[in-house]
Amino acid sequence: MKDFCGFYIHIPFCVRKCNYCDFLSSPMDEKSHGVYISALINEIHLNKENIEKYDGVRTVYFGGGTPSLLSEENLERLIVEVLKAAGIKFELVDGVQKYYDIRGIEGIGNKPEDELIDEPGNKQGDELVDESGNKPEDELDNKLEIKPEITLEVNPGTADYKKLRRLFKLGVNRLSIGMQSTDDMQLKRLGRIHTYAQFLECYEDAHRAGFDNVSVDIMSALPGQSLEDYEETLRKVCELSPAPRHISSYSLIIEPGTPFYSIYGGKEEAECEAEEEAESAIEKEEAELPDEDTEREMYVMTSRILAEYGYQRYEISNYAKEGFESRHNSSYWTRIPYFGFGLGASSFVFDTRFENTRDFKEYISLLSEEVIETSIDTSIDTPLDSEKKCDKNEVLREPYEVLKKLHREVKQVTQKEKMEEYVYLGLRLTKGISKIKFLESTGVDFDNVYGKVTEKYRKMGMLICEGNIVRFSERGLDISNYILSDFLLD
Amino acid sequence: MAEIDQSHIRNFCIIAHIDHGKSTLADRIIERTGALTQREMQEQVLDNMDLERERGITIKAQTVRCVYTAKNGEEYVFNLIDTPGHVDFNYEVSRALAACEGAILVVDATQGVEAQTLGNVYLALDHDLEILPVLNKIDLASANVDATKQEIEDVIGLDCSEAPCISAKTGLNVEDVLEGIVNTLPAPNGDYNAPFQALIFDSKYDSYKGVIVFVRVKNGHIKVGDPIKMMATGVVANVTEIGTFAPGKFMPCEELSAGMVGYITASLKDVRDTRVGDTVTTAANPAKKPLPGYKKVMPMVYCGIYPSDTKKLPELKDALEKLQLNDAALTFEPESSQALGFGYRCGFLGLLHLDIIQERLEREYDLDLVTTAPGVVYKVYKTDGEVVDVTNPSNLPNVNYIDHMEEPIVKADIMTTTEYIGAIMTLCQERRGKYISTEYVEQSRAVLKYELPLNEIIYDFFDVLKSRSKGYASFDYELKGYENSELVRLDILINKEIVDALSFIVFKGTAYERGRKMCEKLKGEIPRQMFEVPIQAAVGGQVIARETVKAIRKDVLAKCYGGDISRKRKLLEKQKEGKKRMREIGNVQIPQSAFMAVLKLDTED
Repeated sequence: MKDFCGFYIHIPFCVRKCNYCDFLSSPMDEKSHGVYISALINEIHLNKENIEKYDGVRTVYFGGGTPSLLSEENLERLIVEVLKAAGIKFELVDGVQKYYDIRGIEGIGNKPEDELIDEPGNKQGDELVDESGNKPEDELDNKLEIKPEITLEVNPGTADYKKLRRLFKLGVNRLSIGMQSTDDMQLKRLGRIHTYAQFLECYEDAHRAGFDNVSVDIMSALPGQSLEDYEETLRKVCELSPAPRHISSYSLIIEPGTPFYSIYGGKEEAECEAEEEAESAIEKEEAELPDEDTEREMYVMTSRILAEYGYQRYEISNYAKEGFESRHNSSYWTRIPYFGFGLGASSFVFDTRFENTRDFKEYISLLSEEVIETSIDTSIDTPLDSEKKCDKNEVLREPYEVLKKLHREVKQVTQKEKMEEYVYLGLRLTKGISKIKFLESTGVDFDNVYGKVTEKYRKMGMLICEGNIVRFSERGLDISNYILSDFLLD
Repeated sequence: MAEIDQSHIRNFCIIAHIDHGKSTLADRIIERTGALTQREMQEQVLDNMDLERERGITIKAQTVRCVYTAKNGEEYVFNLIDTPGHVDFNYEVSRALAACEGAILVVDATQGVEAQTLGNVYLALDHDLEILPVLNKIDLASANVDATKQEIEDVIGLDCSEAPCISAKTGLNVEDVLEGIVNTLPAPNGDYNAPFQALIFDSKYDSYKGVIVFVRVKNGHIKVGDPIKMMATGVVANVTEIGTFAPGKFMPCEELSAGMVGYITASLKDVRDTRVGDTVTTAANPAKKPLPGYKKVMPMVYCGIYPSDTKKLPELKDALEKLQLNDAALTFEPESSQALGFGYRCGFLGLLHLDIIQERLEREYDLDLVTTAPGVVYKVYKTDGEVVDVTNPSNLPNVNYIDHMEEPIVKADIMTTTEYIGAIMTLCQERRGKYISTEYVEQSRAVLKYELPLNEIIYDFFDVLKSRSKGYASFDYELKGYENSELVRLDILINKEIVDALSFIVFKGTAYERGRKMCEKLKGEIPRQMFEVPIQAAVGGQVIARETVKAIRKDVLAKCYGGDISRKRKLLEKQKEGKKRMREIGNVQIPQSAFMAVLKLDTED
């Protein structure tokens, strides 16, 4: 069995903050972008040893913020370095994207045995080696062709055809476009920077630039949104030509600290009024949040309508045409390791979870050119904790003081947490979890630990047990948190 | 040690309506007699439970011995027994009174005579005590000394011409009280040579000394080593220590003799061997008859007390036993509830008593409790002629076997300024009160006499009375007896299952209203579940009210961004923590607060 991992790369910049957004992102000037990209590249370099402990990188995800906001130069600088660090060699051959494992580890290119998501959509790359039987190009001698998933988030209005084409040429093979709604009024209320027309243009440009694997993000339960409005968004997305391969649909959550929170979250009238004056773009009078029943109907409608168009729900909020489930997203739920690079990014490697500092200035100064040079000179190689073992008996190394300062809340996942994670993450996927894989992964019999609680919810119709598989029913998925909290062990 | 001269002993207590300054005066007396130096004085020495200080009330009778040099140059021993003021604790007052020859009646000169002033005076007169009236708070601008004196003379019939007028707070004229004690209150007159007779008026458990009994010696004398006998229980033991009460500590002495107030230890380990109200005598030369004991206190209010954590049952039992030791009025017996598991059905004198016990259990014994709705003792006459006392609604026999039921009725005296008479009469009517009479104390004040069902006043009657009279009305009651009544058991069904801990017995005419309020209240307390949960109130299987807790609509964490799973874990942990505070009944998670919330059903809207 090979140990693959993923990369998450965080770009904390946007044109303007959306009214509902509580992600780590804010508008900054292009100079800051450049400085940040340099720091980011330095961070990746510092992790060289850690990355090489794994057999390869199979998913890369550029999220934000708005990664597509970066200039072509910055994007190129970043993507080239990321792929290099991931051990992936990319080239465009007759308009076809080709990827090779430059570390030449035997067997790479075959699907990892424990990959939960079958992905026929990626077959075209996988089979090449065996089919030809020939050695590839000279300089790629002994290198095996692979098909990594390389996603970049795009906001309409930040990427024109030229930029998108550049991304394609750099090796990005999946785009996730944040459309959110087909209603310009809604988009305005959300504080989005684009119109529906701009989305359509971007969507078309993406395909023209060569992208086939495109995902579209939509949102439900928006202020003033009726059931009919939402249905229109759903249908318009499905009827796009060519149809998106993947759709993410999120219910609006009013998060503390966002402009929406001061309108829809807090109950204090006075505070509300003050905020309203400040945020003139948001007009509450005509935009109440849908009531609970409507919200629920929207939620049910999502899977019904998307199914009409051939999208299967594979995770609580994600739907895909067969074979186009996001491998990167799924890897979070199946506990596949991932390095999170960038401001505030979360990592899960060597059975250890941690996150980077969320302080932009600190991030930049820790990873500045000068610091890196001195840091490497005085490199010290101390394992995080020599007692803590993980898969392949490797531990996270923070060889440079810099990484120690960068990482926050570094926590080795305990056996107990491992079992809990296995369940509460795994059950987010509609295919559920396998008791056999649970045993392989944790060394503990599932029924010994969770037999009773599983049976309780099975009887209530919240969980479905088929052979060794345990998964949520539709209703169970709706209220998954309520149920999953019972899977935390004492 | 020579025989103590009884003529120089004064055993007395201080009685007053709540807040009239009883404990403050006690403190001044202790201070003036030098029992404590100023530096040692902590405010209100005698209220030494945290709870007493916080609430500004006296719960337990406290005893202290001090020595006063009178103006005639002679030394007198004062045994002062401080008493609680609240009507719930009348039994404590009564115990204290039995140990005294005299009582100081403190009346707040800004308030005048109040309901409990009267109640306590009558109690003292029942015990043939000499009463010394004292007017307090004369330093306040609103004090009306003459009117108050007149009122005491008119209403109580005590001569106030010599009554000390003081401010216990500032210490003004407190020496008048001290002299009054010497000159007005009688000395004890026991027989030193008669067989030993001492009344147990309190007891306390000490882990080193065993049970410490607080006694008032009526006749005879004892020394360390004497074998003593409890006349009611027949238990015999050798005296290991005797002594008197210094403020806040025990002071051993060589002999306890007629007229004295003190304590005895005799390596008694079992609390039940030393009943408050029993008479201690000597084994060698026993008294022929015990002293008249106290009226046995009967609990009037019952409720179930359960540990939140079912594993804490032994701790709860232990705590109740310890509290019962010096709180004879507290009773408890094991019971079990489907909803709450194992616990105890406890009997109390009133709601304040219940409240105090519950708080002491939680604070002093660090227990987390769930309490069921308090109720009274009903007499159920069954068709087969049997009569059963029902304290737990779950034990009410099937309707078919009930011939009729009786509920306890109290005689209530409500003293009020005349402008609130109308409001108070309305309140009493709402509570099924039977009007008896109105007696005018003076032009602007009257005593309203009512007969009220006890179960109508145990919840919040006092609070509502206070709010409707803007604090001017005061209230005292005593049990009159049992009367026939139309009573039914109101059951609460959650998700179609009866939750036994929420059942209670109620007057038929108010069942609908109560049921509706219960359902409304519970709807607000029970969080949404995975499915719709009906909450119903039913009488005899017939549903009379219903509310519905909607199902959780959606409970998913929609976005888990960039693999940040710590947020998800925190959310799940929070949810799990919330569930821990719930009881699961028929798949429904019921928070413990729901059981408590229904206790506060009647608060004024």
